[in-house]
Amino acid sequence: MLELNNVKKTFFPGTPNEVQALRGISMKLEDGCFAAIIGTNGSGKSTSLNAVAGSFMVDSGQIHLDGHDITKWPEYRRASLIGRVFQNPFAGTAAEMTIAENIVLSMRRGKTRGLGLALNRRIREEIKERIRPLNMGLETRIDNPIGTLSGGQRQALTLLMATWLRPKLLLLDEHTAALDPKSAAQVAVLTKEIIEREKLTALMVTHSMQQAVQLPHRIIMMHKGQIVEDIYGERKARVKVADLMNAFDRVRRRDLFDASVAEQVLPQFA
Amino acid sequence: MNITPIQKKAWLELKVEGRLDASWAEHFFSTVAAHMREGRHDIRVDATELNYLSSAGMRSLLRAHRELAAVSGQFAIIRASEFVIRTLSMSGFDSLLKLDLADQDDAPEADESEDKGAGWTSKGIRFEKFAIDPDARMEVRPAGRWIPWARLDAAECEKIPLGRDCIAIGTGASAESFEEAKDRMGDFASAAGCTAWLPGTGADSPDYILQEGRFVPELLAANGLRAVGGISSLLRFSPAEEGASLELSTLIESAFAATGATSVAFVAIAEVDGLVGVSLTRSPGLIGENDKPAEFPELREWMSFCGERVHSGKQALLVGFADASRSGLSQPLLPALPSRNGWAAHVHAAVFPFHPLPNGEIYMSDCVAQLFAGAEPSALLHLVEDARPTLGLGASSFLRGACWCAPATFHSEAR
Ligand SMILES: Nc1ncnc2c1ncn2[C@@H]1O[C@H](COP(=O)(O)OP(=O)(O)OP(=O)(O)O)[C@@H](O)[C@H]1O
Ligand SMILES: [Mg+2]
Repeated sequence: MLELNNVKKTFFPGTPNEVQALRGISMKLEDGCFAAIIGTNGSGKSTSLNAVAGSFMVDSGQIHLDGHDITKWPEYRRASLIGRVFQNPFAGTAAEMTIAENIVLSMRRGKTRGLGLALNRRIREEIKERIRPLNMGLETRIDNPIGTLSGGQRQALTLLMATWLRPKLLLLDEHTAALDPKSAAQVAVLTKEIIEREKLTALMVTHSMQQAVQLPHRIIMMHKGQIVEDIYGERKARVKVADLMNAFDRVRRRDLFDASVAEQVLPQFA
Repeated sequence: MNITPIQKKAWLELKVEGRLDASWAEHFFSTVAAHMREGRHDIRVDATELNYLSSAGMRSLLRAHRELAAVSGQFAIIRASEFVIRTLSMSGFDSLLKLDLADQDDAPEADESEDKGAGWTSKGIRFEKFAIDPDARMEVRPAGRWIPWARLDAAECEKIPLGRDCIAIGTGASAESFEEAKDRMGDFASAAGCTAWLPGTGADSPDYILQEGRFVPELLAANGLRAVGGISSLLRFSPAEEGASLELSTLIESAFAATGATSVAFVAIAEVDGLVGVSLTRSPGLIGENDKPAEFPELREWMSFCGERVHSGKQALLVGFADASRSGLSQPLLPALPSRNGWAAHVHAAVFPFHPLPNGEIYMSDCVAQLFAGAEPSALLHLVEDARPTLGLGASSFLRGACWCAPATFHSEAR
């Protein structure tokens, strides 16, 4: 289980560039729960994921994962519990290394000492076995440099690598946003398959309302560093893209409803 | 494909050239629909230069025919090549062919004769007035006694019937008891047995209840105005100049003029230019001891503001009450209308997808029923004026439509 308790983060405090990126985020993500985070640009989606992954230390609040208080853990230590996939298909893998080498490297991630995982026959077979269900024909190309693959293929592999060791938490930050629509859809379906098969706990940032409706169990909407909607259970079951658009609209309208509006409309209401 | 409109005196002719197939069918239909929106209800097609017609094309012709028939209009192909005539006849669509109409002179001005009302033009808007019943009036009574933004007490609520004989607006919920209603009270508008209400649960779209047979819908109202009586006049309005639109206060002014009264009740169905309004997002039944809903920013938990001019191009059903006699100002539910000195008004708008109204004299109950039968309401607003300097959204305005009105007498107590 992932639990955030009143997490706050301000960048450049006390300067003209001060940004209150997280203004008290609290959420509980049960084991096996797959949640999407949606929200306007700059609402704090990536910052939330970064706070969990340990890219920076938060100003206040606590983060618990799998029974550990990880609030003060450095990033590399959290990496043993967390798998990540970023927007850029070229991030997180080494282009000139082969598929197999990249995978072996990822199997070592988070381990403090190199375990000397050699590319022996058994491992090569396991790699082929796990790549085959991607249906991309990559199992015959595991000795090709990963840089020769398309963005969609790379992202599918990155996803596979991030989940290879069944992390306690999978963080996906717009991981289909840089792909063409067809590859994006393919990777989206693959994401759901892997998460459900491995019963992973996952947080996925997306700008695709369609994805938010179709893939996860839960939708968390952020705005200006706060959670403004949390849709799960029966509400999630009947939510449609139009409902999410309406939710965005509500948030925007609320921003436009300032004291000067209140002064205008109150006397006209009663 | 090319569509050239040619404005005749009594009808609109569309000269259609090229292919009417699946890739052009939607374009053809939306062109016809756009002309209908402008009130062209007699549309005749010259298909002499139409050199291909597929089944999808024929379907779009039929669709245009149906839409115009629904507003008592006409859609016909008055000239066509042998090929088109043969294709239509063989497919059983020959009812669309009215080749004899082509020979008729354009002059007869048949539409001038029948139900032409008295007309005038003001601020770029053409008005027509139809007298319905010179003696008709509306008796308006308060329903419920909740004063915003006090805590709501069960005893202040009142169950009101919303049958075909009344019009009403206010705050309430469709529920049997106060217990059931208290967390869902929201704005409502009712006319001719059709009621739209926006549950105060943060719902995005209104619910609605219709009178069916002997079932008369009821609402538990926290407050509201309910009127019974008859319509005295019908106003039809449409832009006489490019870009002209009708502001709510001008519509009210026209209703005063049409009825000769300084207090009116009205129902209007109009194409929206832009709406400005608020709606309750949290039920007043939930106001607690420590809540201060009338204070900013807490107000935003209870009420939402449209933020911009909304629902342009949609069809709005307006139900409203207005008073310029100053006596109405003592009425708790008639707040002052900021743009007009001494006027008070309370208007709710239910928003529907656009659907054209027939031209001329039309009946309120039929039109309201058709609006609800055609599609569900997508929004409900309590209209306000936003007169903030520079940032202000102004007042709600409309392009064309119909307004049924009557002189109103405001009674201070429920009977
Ligand atoms: N490392 C950082 N240093 C300074 N400011 C940052 C940093 N990371 C994020 N911010 C700021 O914090 C705010 C939230 O950014 P964040 O990247 O979390 O938004 P987001 O919701 O992911 O938006 P997008 O949809 O654009 O990816 C922004 O104003 C951003 O500029
Ligand atoms: Mg981001």
